[in-house]
Amino acid sequence: MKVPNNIHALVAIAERIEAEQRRARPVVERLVTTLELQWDTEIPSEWRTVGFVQELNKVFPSVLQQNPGTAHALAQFALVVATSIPRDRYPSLVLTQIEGMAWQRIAQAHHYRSNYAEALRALDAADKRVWTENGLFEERATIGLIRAMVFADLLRFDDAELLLADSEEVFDTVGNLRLYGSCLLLRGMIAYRQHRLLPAAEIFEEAVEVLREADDLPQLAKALRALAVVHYDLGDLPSAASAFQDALSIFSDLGFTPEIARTKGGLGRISLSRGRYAEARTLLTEARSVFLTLRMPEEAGLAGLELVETFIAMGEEFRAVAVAEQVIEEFRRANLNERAATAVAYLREMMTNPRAREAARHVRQYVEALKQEPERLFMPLPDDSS
Amino acid sequence: MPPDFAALYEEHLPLMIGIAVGRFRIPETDAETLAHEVFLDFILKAHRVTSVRAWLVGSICNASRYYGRVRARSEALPDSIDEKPDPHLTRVVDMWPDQLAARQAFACTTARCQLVLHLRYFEEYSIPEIARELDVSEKYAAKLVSECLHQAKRRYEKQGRGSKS
Repeated sequence: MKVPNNIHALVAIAERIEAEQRRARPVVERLVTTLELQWDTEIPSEWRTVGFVQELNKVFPSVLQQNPGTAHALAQFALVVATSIPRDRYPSLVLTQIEGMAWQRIAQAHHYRSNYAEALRALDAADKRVWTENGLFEERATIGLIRAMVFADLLRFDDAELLLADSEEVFDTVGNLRLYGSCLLLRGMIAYRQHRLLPAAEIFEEAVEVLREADDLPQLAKALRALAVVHYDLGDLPSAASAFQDALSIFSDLGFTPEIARTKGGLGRISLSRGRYAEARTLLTEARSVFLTLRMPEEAGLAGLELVETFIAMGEEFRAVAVAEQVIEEFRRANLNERAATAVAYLREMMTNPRAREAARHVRQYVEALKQEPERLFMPLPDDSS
Repeated sequence: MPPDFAALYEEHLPLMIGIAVGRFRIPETDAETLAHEVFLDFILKAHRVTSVRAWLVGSICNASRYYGRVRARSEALPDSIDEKPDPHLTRVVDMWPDQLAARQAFACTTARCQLVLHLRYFEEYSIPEIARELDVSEKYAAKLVSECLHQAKRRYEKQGRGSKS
């Protein structure tokens, strides 16, 4: 079907899609909790509409924040529905847009769970679609932004910044403050990972302002948390705690479970630094338990390592050993990088050493760095007698 | 769709075509198509556009720029083009019905099979890639592809028999 070339044809399409969305809304609401049952049946013909796919795409961001696994399945389902719509029912631009969007969501779900190769593969599929249409420049820019996020996580900062510059220009020209703010957030992340703390803090502050104006609460909370982490690294604990609290309050309002856990983990780290061990223990235990429930073993392990440090500081070595052993087992069961389990095993051996707390911090920093550099070798703490 | 969509269209269409033609030297008929593509895209995103005028003007500029880039990369066909058949199209008579039939056959299967077959045959995912996408073992992914192909064949044939009788 060709692009409509008059107002009547455009209105007819818009009204049709709106009616499809209205019909799809209650079905999609139910589908979020019953999707597993749907995979082994044929997709009903009345679901094969653009409006239905748009509703699936619309619920994706909030589901991603609550349950990344379900969000991934929803995005895959959106792709299946989009590709089964008869080609002659809508203009090709519309079909291309929803297929590209479904691939974009699949990529986001992979990225969220640190599956970088899979995310890039999905972005290639998304790109292949949207590069064929003149009109879909905002989609191209969004794909560029997500690809830049993946590159930044893989420490390919130059590639990330190149893509980011193009995307920023597009979002700026169409006044898309929400995605412009997301670009700033990523720029700040890159500066932070390059250990440029002061520029990172400045960029995050700008991102907070832009995202507040855009009223994009999820991204605003992420920017606040990023700012908190920089303040923490700069040794400004009161500012860090305040920014973490602001982020936590937004995430709690939104009900974003993994983000609440991440933020509580950050507050736990501050409590640990301030010597408020009981508070740190509560916050870190809560965070770890959420990550384990959501099957996010890497994050659970990192919270576990901070908990180990807390128990060492509290003089409860037996608890520290028990948590370290659980973390080793979880890493092995999840088939995570073998080096991480080796590093935690080293920590377990160090528990009775006077430098145990330092070792706990050293191992946690190493496991965190492995996310970006999977080939990095583990080196024990340098001998302090030298 | 905003309630005043028709008014927005009437107000902005000439401006958008003017920008594409005047600033980006795009032929008027193509400029008109581009402007309608932008409106179609607007329909899909209207709910998150804050400043309509800025969005429409920014969009026509971006779409025109992209149109120009694609045009700059294309070359004129040689005069002898009519005499030689395109090698890519030698099998087109077999290929297009095959692709259409594949789409129809895949659409008869379960949602899971549609996903598996789409990844394998339209996106050219390898078995290990499918395994990672579905979070299953490679052995199970290979089995799924084979079973889904059988399912597509069986259901498509049955549908064909049903439509004949």
